[in-house]
Amino acid sequence: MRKRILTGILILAIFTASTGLVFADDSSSPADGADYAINVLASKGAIEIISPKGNIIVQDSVLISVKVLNNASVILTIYKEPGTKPIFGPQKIEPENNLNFYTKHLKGLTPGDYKMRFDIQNKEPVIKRFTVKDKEAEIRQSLKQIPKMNILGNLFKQLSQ
Amino acid sequence: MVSFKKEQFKTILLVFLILMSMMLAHQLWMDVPLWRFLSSKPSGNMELGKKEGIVNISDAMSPQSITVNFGGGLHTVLYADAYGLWEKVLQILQEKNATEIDIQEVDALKWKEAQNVKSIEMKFACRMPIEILSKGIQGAFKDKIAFADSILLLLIENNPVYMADSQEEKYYRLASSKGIQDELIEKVNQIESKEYTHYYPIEDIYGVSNYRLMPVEWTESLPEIKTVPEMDAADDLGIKSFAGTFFGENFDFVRKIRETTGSVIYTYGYGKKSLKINSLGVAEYIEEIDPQKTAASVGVWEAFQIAFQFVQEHGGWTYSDGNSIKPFIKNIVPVEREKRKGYRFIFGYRFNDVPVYHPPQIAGEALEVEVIGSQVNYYKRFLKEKASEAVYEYERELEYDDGLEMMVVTDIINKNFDVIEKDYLRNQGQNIKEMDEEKIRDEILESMDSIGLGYYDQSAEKIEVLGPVWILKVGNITYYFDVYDGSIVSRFEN
Repeated sequence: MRKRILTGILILAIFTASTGLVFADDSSSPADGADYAINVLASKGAIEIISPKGNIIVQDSVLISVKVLNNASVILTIYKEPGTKPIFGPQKIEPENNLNFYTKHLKGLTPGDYKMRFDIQNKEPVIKRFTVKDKEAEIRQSLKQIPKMNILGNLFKQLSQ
Repeated sequence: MVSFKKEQFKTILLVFLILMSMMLAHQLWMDVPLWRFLSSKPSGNMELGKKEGIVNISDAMSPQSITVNFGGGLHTVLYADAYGLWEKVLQILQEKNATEIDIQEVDALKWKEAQNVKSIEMKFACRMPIEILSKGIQGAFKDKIAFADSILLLLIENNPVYMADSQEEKYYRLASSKGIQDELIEKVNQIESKEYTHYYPIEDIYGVSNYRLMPVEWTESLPEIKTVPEMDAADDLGIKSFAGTFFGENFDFVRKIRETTGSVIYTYGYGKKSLKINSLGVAEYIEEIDPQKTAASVGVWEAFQIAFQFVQEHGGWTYSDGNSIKPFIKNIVPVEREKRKGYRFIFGYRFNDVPVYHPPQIAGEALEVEVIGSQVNYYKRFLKEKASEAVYEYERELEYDDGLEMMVVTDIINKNFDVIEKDYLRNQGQNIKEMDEEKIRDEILESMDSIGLGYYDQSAEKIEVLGPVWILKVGNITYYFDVYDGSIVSRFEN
């Protein structure tokens, strides 16, 4: 009888014990209301940055997609901070036809902070920053943050109450 | 002692029954038994045809492309199944039998969310009847889902499966308690660890509401291929051997006609059966409808098996070198002939692991089989084979410093957007022309279907050449772009 009671309590404790939930971190898509790390210095009407959307990239590549507006003359340069030597560019963005999109897929990025600088003729430059994080490290970090299950501890706590 | 022998006998009988079940299940799914298809069974001393390669029936219903979603916004697309993913997905579908499945209809948003999870998506070239996708489907399952043109298998616990019927804008979630296929996850990890072509949703490239995928780079190169038609109407011995598979022991009573155009026609019984091979190498077989064979209609799965076996016995599913043509099903059309119902199955094939397209004005589809009841009354076959000399590199002068490089798809769209826009405006009429120019561009980008890679039969312009192309569908027009210079090779209004 005692065994049955103890077994029943154990099962109840398992169901009611605190658990941790893991969510996949899709950092390439921003959460609602997320702040973009865009430093727009009075250059509206020149470019529209389609990608990257957020400022955290959890992979070693990034898609850069920019729509050039009003036939603006734009030069793109990308730096890995805190360095001053470009890792890409300066590249003049010259979209063909009236589609006016510029697309570039950058690969081989190492973890760290990056800065994209769009120099626009007769206007202030547009700066966008993003951070590249190591995917495996991010997964390990997320797993560490899961609260550990302490079934026996919780059981004793409940029994003593 | 007696009871011990009895138990021993029972054990041996049980083991025997299990082994028989495994053998019969393998026979039924992976290899179609020949004796079932008496109407198309070759007889007598005729050879089966020049090729006897083995292609499983599951290969003939394979998807046209496979999208691998790695999670975190990373995707790639495979145009041929080099990793055996389709076979594994079929096994999972087979394991999920109807009694254990919980089927829910979901909205497009749920489907889109599922695509962002680590998963494999099988995309078919047409709406596949559910009976063909999973033979074990019965009752409630079939009542809820009739067709699917995509299957999405999530590589998470319990492998939930999503199916989509895009034409009807219906999406379904199938959940069961079956476990994860570790081997499938391993294959996806293997793909991810290698260099692969990154695909991004069109919305991430152009900022419009379109979740279809587009490559932003291309890491391989596809050469032009010099080809010959599989059938040569001038090759008497070759076509006689092929014709023999249709007429069997009645070949002595078959009449042969050679037309001035170069076509060859074999007829039997005043047109009861006829086979024509034209100068381009297109073979067409027509058989009069037999009331007895077509008295009872068969289901789409049985008709599919009949079609598969018919091709197997008349030309086969391989090239003359024994390699598989890597078929995939392009369309299944219900038909009715002389008040009898049946199906027309249209198959595509691949070259260098990408689909081959023939222009309609030359030959159209590669393989077509029409099944009425249990009789095949129409069969068309037009395949290209690699010419005997070695594949040659394309030698056009290009403006790129590196020489032979495939253009990035976005650059090709940029280059041809004026033409695409003009075609779109012409088809949409006056209303759209009054719209803001930017809104027109956004609408065009939103109507772009996924871009695909293939080979285009350029026989009309160049003698016997398959040229690599990107295929893009915008609205009701399909464009074929040369992968190297981005020019429009062809375009068709659907």
